Amino acid sequence: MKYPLLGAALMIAAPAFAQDAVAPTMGPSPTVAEQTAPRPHRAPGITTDNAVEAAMAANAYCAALPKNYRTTTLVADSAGVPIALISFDNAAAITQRIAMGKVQLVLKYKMKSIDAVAKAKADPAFAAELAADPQIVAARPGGIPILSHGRIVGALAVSGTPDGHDDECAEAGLKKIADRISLGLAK
Amino acid sequence: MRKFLLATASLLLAAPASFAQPANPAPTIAPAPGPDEMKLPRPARARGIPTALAIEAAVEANRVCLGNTYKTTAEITDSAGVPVVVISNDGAAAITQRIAMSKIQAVLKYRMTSGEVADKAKTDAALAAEIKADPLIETARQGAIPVMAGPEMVGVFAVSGAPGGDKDEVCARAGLAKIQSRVQ
Repeated sequence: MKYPLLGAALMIAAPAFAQDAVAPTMGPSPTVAEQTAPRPHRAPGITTDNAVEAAMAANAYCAALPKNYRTTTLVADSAGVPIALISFDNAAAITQRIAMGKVQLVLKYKMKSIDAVAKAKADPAFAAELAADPQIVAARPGGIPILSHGRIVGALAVSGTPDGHDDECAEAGLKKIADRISLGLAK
Repeated sequence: MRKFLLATASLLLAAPASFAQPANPAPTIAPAPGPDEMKLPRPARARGIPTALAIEAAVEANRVCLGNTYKTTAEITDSAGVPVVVISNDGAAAITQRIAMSKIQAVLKYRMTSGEVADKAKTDAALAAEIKADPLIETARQGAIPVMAGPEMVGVFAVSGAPGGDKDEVCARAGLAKIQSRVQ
């Protein structure tokens, strides 16, 4: 019942992140209550080494395309907590939050975000549901699940190509580490 | 100006509640941009260090901390506070990512290490109140240092996750030392 109010407040608040005066990308400093709460271990996910390697490979793939895209790649665990956020030289700041939106979509709907784009076009109710979630807002291609033995253990998302190459770069990044995490079919 | 104040006020109200929600949490990273924001110009990043150097320094900082059994997050931003890399080591708590950013904000705002900000706040009540009122800092904590290229601050480097900001700062300094000669 509190949700609509919170959602409304959050939607008003979101543009504040675009201002130079506030922290771009990251959420606010934890409150005292949050700091004193238990700090559980990360949810299941891939190792930090693998996450860094996949993110670097995705950015490098995008940078090597003819238009030399400058992207951000985010690798998160199965609860959506970032393991590695790597923003390539001269990537736009907004790509970091766009990438997180894709990660949230992948984990919530357990599908590639490019498939969600197609689904949202054909299904107005689904599109409306995405729009109503401030962490997702819209289906944007470039987010893919990371599977290990058929189980989703995280998500990888790329943002920064304005003409539709994010998904390709994400797949290239994940492919780099696929043999190490027993990649299943990412569908 | 007024719009900005309103937005800031809304942020204060919205932030703690929304981040505490278990249903669809967005830990660490702010909400996805809406359609209006997507249409805004996207300027290139502010002055900062190359991504490759940032990765090297962050990995080194986490490695040094892990050598002391601390599982940390290392974060390096450009000179405007936009992350270049956030790397959370295996077993690091999620909250360390936002704590690292709060240390970075303290360095950017006060142009000194976050440990120096924390020290100063101990004897300066006005500064302590100002920090508490800033939702991006809230508490001054040691563990973030400026990344300097000569006299110019080109970024900020923070570590969080060790049991004590002094221990975090040791790892940040070790990470920076690895790349300092190549920072221009």
